[in-house]
Amino acid sequence: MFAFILRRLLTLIPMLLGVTFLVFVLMSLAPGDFLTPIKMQRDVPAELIAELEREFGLDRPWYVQYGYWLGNVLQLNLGYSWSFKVPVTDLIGSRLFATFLLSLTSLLFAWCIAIPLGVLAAIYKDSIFDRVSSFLAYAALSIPEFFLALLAVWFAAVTGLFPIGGATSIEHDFLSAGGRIADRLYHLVLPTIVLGIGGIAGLMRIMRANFLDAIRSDYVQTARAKGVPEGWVMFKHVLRNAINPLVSAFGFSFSSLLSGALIVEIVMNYPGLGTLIYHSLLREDQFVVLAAIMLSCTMLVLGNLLADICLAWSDPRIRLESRD
Amino acid sequence: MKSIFREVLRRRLGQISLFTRLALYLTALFAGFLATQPVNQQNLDATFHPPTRVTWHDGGLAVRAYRLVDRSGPHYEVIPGEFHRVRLFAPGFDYKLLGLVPMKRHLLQAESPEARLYLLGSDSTGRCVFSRLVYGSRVSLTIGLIGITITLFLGLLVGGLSGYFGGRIDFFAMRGVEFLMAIPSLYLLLALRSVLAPRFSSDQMFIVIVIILSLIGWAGAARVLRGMSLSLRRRQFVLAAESMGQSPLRILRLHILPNLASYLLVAATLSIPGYILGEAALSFLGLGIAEPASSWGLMLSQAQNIKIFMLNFWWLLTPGAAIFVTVIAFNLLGDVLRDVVDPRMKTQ
Amino acid sequence: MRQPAFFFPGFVCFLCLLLSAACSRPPSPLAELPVVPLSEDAETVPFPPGQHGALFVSTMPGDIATLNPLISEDASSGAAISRFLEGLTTLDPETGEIIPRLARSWDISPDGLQFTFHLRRGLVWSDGHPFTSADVVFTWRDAFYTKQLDPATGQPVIDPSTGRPRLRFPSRPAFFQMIEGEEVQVEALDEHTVRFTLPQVYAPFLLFGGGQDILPRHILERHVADGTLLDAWSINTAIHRPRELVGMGAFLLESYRPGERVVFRRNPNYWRRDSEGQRLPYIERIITRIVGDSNASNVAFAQGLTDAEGLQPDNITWISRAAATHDFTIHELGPSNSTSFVWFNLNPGSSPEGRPFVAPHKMRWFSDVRFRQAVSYAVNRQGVVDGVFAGRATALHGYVTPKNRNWHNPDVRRFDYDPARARALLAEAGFVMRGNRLHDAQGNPVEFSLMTNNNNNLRTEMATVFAENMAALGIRVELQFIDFNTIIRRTSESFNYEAALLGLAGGAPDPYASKDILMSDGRLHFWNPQQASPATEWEARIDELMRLIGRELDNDKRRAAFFEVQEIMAEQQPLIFLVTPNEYVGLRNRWQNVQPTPLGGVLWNFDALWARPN
Repeated sequence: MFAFILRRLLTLIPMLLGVTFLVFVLMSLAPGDFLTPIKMQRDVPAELIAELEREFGLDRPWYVQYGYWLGNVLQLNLGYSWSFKVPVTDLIGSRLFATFLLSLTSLLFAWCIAIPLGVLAAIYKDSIFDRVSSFLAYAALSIPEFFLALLAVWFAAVTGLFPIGGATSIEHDFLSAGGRIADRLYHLVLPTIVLGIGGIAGLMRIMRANFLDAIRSDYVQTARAKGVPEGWVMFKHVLRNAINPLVSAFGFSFSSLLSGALIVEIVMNYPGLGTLIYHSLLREDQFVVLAAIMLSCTMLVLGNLLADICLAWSDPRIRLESRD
Repeated sequence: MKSIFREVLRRRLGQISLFTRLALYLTALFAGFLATQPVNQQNLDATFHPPTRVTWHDGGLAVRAYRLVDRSGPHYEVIPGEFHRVRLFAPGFDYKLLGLVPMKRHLLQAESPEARLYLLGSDSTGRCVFSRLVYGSRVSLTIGLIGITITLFLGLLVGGLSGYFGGRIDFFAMRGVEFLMAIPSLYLLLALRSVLAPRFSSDQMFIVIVIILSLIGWAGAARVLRGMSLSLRRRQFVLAAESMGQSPLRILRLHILPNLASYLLVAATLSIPGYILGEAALSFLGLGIAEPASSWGLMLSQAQNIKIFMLNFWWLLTPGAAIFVTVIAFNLLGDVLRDVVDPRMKTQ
Repeated sequence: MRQPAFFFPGFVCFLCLLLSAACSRPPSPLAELPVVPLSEDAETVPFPPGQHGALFVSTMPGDIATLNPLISEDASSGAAISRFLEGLTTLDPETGEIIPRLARSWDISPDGLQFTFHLRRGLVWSDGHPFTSADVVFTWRDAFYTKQLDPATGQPVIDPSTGRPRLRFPSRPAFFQMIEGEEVQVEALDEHTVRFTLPQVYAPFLLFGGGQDILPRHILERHVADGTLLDAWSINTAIHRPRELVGMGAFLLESYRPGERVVFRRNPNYWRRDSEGQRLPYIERIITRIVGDSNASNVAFAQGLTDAEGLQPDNITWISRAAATHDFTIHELGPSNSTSFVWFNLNPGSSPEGRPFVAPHKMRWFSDVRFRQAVSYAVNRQGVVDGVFAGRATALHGYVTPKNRNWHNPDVRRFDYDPARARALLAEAGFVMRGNRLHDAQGNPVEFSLMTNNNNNLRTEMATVFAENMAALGIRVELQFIDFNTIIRRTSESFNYEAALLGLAGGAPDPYASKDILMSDGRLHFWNPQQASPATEWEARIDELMRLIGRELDNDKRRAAFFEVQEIMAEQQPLIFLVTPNEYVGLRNRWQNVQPTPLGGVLWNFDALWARPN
């Protein structure tokens, strides 16, 4: 088990190296740097610009800059944000948390909707309900995320029922502890729905198929033959077995949510990692981009690892091996 | 292949999705004919004009006349009792049918120049949304086709070869594939785009985006194709062909490829929406197709402006509906194809 | 078989834990500050007395990056800093004249080289520490002019490129407070008198030098000593140690949550009072919510969530519908001071590979003043105002917008929309129409590319309108929407472009601030920057006038010179100005003492605004 986890974590290293290297090359190829907007201001003397370029090593070739950066990362120093003027680690913490929270709630949302729907669709197979729900799942799968986010903003703007953007409201700091949690949840509602909807369709279809498989399996037939009540059969035997494969989907869907959050965050103005990356990319704030991309890659690998562990934990027949 | 087609047509969903797609592609092909106005023609006196109502009046088709009531809205009102005649197949502005034949005839044209024929309203500089939507379909519809061709070609090349040869080639190819799959694609997309943008004009940007999207997308296909060619490799007929001394490329082409064809068809159909959505998202973020060219994502980015919602200029959201219809048509067809090609994959 | 069903409730519990962890952090109130009684030198404001205690809620587009005025570059940081720091002088928002702030008065020596400021007596910093001339001297001498020393020799390091000593804390204000590269001598004559001795006559010193934010010596001294001045007052300070952000302004930063909000509270030691002797400001707290863009903040205001908001011209219509419901008024302030313009690349140089920046035949068109004038006549400015800005903008004809009343020359040559005149000018310059395309005398079709930045909706629309206007003349314009960074690189480094559309925000209060744009050796002389000697006669004349504006202390002579600069700019059209959006500010009606002025906006007397506590 530990050997397996260790091996998985070791594969992270070359991957992160490769990814950061690629990003570094790409960003150094991109025109301009974070000083470009400063050059446009009418009262910035040329001496200052030269000074800043020296200070940030922008006059060095990119591979030298990469070397410096790598050395710093090994000492757990993720660098310095040029546009925010603070260490990157300070910047990323709260953003990472916000994105993490959003991903978790959307996952929860997707599960809460998809599992009952999938089960019902399987029980009432080929009924109107089955057809309607599968059509809705289709629709959900086909709506562009950004369009849905746009519609959500529109909904919030027109009805005034939900806040437009942000993770907390203006008076957040002056609320009681319970009020603050409620406030946070209230701001999470729309982004959660928008981000979660895309995941429902896939989960629901898997759930439905699994449930149907389970219904036809031998042990269910046996249980029925023994005269166990139908409801109990469905819950105790069928549902539990049908959920198993979904557990493995957990890790994977988590990592995909994390990157899917990017567009939703930008359109809905949610202060998470996605907005940070987007704005940093536009501002060419190299170290922030590097750190954020590194984090999301790590998240991806950890998500997959989590999925494998979950699967092994829920189904002892599966042993952890380094699969090809 | 013919039987697959017939099989698809036998199903209701198959029919719906095929006909939707047919309609979409015809729209893209005959965009010039369908458009009522040149794609970039502005009218600063008719910005955010509501869709003009087409009615039957006095023995012929006509549109209502509108009057600008409040410029600051802007807000328009129908002038009661005033109509402008419109004609089917009437001459209008010049365009090239299928990009080749110079033509003047359009599906619908207004007779008098004062008439405002905005089937889906106008945008912030008074351009016809309907005409832009029609022209924009070209981007969304071709981007998927070109993208999937590049993806499948690369996937087939890398996946097929590494599955066939195995060993060291396989090892390195698969590590590369895993690497590509591990990168959060949207970030890579953004980074690539910002690097490449200044080197290309807005017309070329289209191609650049397709290439970026397919360069990111081929890894998944390569992985599956490798698995399939690995299993085919051990089958009798391949071994037989090999023992007869046929070259690997020939074996790939003659024996392995045909067996992968049905998978390729399904995979292609199911992954096209990814390209359509990818382009739309990029253009929406202002990183894809740029003005004055038109694409659905780009048109939607105008709708990000809050006043569009507040003043209820709903017609600017129609590109979103167009994307939705297109994507759902491809998804449906992909599912139907999968059912037909491989009933075992069917979700009961 | 294990129980995956446990997994789900466990997951939910985990989520709840996370949430409560996020929310359990208590707000960090600023500990009570010692309050020093008002001095007799405190300024009395000319407004009816009000009531303390109200909460002011606002938004700002974009997060703050720093609270250190030495390194602040963006608008949000600048706005936050200006809440708690102040200068010796400021501009009168009604008349545009220079009026006292922390200095009570000043004398200027007859030769114009010595400025002596008399500071108000008995003023204290927000933490109760006395404000004296030592703080002023510290700001210039230590924060700006400290030299970088060579650790080996102990001597100042000389920059090889400029031949001057290198600064230890190179910053924008530091370079800005040097006059033609020379330092200003600053000395404290006594605790409340400071004398500045300039190396040469510098007309805008009273505004630029006097307006400089003064830094607290007792707080920042140690950062100068250990060399961390540029790292001081970062957003980390704002998050963890807001007490260190000491200032003379009306408000103090109380707490800051990155990406979410900044909270300011009133400075209990502020130095202004009302006619009843109550200490200003009246507002108890300002809660500023950080939002992604101005769209979102406009919406928040329209929903009645905030007290004041700068409104986008194209949003006025729908926001005004909510005015009755949420009890606010939209104040129209007339044309803003941001400009937008098109210019052609007139740089005659060549790339290192020997390729000219602009093809010779295109350079012939661009440098012909008749061509530029024709383009200017063909631009439908009123159409842009009506169509793109829904009528809420003003056509722009010169370098200074009407907002800047003191310096705006209303009588420059105007180029109102007149395509016929444009065609006539083109014909006169030898251009001919062939079919529907314009050709020059040598038979080249007239076409050029125009670049503008891709993240500004209104600018994108202006560019498409410009292209259509040119198409009407038979000129083909290829639009390039590119990242702002790329545009700047092309216009200031590689010069590899033909035409561009950009804008400048924030008209400078003094014409000399525009020297980098207007003078031919300027870095921002857009059409042909950093010329060794002026390329044309009219540029030479502008240089001459600008030098005069820098040296001349008499305001009327300065104005006359700057009016002539504007006339030359209008006649020659090196920058083809388009429009300036009008400025609108919404404010809830509960606020009292509101006196909007075009120059100062609605919130210029922020410290005197009051409302009944909510």
